[in-house]
Amino acid sequence: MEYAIEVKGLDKSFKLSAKQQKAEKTKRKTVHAVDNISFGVKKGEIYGLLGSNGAGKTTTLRMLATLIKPDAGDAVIDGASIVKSPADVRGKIGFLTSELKLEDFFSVDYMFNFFAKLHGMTEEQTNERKAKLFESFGINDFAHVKVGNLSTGMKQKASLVVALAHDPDIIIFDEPTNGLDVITAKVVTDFLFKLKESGKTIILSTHIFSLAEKLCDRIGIIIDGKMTAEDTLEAFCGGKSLEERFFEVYEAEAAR
Amino acid sequence: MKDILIIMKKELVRFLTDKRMLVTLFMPGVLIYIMYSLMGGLLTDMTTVDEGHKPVVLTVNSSEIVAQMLTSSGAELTEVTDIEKAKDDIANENADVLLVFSENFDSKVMQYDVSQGKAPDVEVFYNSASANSSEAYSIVYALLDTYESSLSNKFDINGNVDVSYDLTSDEDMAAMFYSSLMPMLLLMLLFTGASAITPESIAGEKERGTMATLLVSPVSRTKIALGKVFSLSVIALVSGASSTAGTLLALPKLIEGSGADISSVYTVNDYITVAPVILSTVLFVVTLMSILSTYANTVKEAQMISSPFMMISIAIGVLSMAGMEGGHNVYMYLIPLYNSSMCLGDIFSLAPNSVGLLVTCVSNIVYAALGVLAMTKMFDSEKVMFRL
Ligand SMILES: Nc1ncnc2c1ncn2[C@@H]1O[C@H](COP(=O)(O)OP(=O)(O)O)[C@@H](O)[C@H]1O
Ligand SMILES: [Mg+2]
Repeated sequence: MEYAIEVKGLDKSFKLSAKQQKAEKTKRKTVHAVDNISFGVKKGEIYGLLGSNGAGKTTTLRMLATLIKPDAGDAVIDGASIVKSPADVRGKIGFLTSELKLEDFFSVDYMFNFFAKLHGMTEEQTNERKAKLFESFGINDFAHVKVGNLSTGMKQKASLVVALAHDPDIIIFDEPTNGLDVITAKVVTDFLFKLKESGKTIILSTHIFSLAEKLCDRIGIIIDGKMTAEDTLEAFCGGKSLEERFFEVYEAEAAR
Repeated sequence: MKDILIIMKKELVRFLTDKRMLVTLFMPGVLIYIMYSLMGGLLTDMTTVDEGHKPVVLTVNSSEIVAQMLTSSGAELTEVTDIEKAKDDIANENADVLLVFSENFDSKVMQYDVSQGKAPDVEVFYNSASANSSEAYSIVYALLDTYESSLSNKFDINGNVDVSYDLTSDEDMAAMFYSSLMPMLLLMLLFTGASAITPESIAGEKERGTMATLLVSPVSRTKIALGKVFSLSVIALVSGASSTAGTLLALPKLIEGSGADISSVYTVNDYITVAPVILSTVLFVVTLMSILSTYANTVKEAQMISSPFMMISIAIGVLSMAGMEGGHNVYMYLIPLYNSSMCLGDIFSLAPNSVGLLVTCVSNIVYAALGVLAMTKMFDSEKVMFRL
């Protein structure tokens, strides 16, 4: 099976300002956030990056989404290199993260049309896609309300549909259910299943074992910026629970 | 090209349908109009004499000759003895002018020879805070002056009252006035317009995380930069135009009677010449502010780092106001802002410099293009965009 995403030796360090050093209570000048990570995501698969807070998941996904550049290594997404042709990559992916916001001044409807146009969609395509997504996520009730006047949950749904406006084949999703109420979280996980059924490739990050267990075909365990273990969910767990296996790996790594 | 238009349209909708934003953009024009009109009204009140007012002149030891001259020029004369009381009357605006002659003024004047001792004198007391008194003072002063010089007349200077010796025309006067005013005014108003929107549009989007959303869309950074710069230029232009209109409409009220009516001085041709200077200047100013706003992390920071440039531009405007007579070196027209200021000065003083104009417009556009290139690089830099 061919890879939709192929990650080869991605590496990223951050310089810490004096302020950051103080906040993190460290004397180190740099943080090695992502340390030579390689893995592959097959077409139509849901791949889960599992790791504790600060493991380097978000940094990895931000590099894949071309928001930041790797210090070394590369990733090829549907044939486009994140280093050599980031603009092409941006046309192929949908990046969902709480970091990307919609302008308070406009309605979801306006923002949806705006980004659909930037993705080169026709009005007909846009309306068709909009009807579908707004229905799925129950946006219709507040489609014409300014984003600034929406509740946090509504805003997250709004960002989600806008990021998926162009019907991308590859979806990069940072902490899908973070900060969502249980009902919205369910809507999102159900939707991820639907996306998978329709043949989309999804890479997500999470620190929630149950979510990874429920959704993912493959798992990559990231500890301290390193890809420590990687396999299909079944093979990795080998009959045990994901949580149990994670801590086995975690303690083995800590003992080294 | 289509992407640039999509981004421009969003920016225009953002700023031109937001009531608060509209107020910030167009309030200055309205305020300037109201303020200048009020100020003009006040100034006029302060400087105009009541219609048909006859100067009330108090005299001590009045001279017959002077009294006769004053009466025939329409003044009302009253001889008084108490000088201190008379001064109070002037201060309280009960009378306009107090003339204190030395004793036997007329005969002493007749006998006086320049070679002998102290000349007879007359003191004129008045109240400069009263328009009536000031007016009366100048009448009396002129009269006394004429009388004095007629006594020892050896020759006249500009003595023929029927000839206008100042050969300047009203138009030239007005042109001089506008050429000293307009460069500073236009630069300042353009900067004001641009600084009302640029920090909000760029640093604001960065601060609120909406710029990141745009940056993961497939639009190229250059198109984002161009879309922003063009739309912000349009808005800065509209806002600048409204404040300029406010100023020009109110100006005649401020400087009543100076004959500086802008419509009588300049032709359509002059306005057409001004257009490219303004357009290229707006592009330059907006690009400059956009770069600063891209660099800044918050709207506040953007406003803070833009304000010195606003000061500089006003200073440059003042510099050109202080008068830069004669021809300028062509290379000077390569200096941004200064070039616009000079060009506007040239055009409004009815002496356009076509080479300077060309150099100004082209160099401004080149600088703006380089600025857009720099912005593109900045949009692409995670250090700038995400403070990494
Ligand atoms: N902009 C940044 N500047 C400095 N350090 C950063 C920055 N972003 C992330 N880091 C550090 O990199 C490490 C990985 O962070 P992140 O990728 O957000 O982890 P995760 O998403 O797995 O919780 C952490 O130690 C974090 O403090
Ligand atoms: Mg994270």
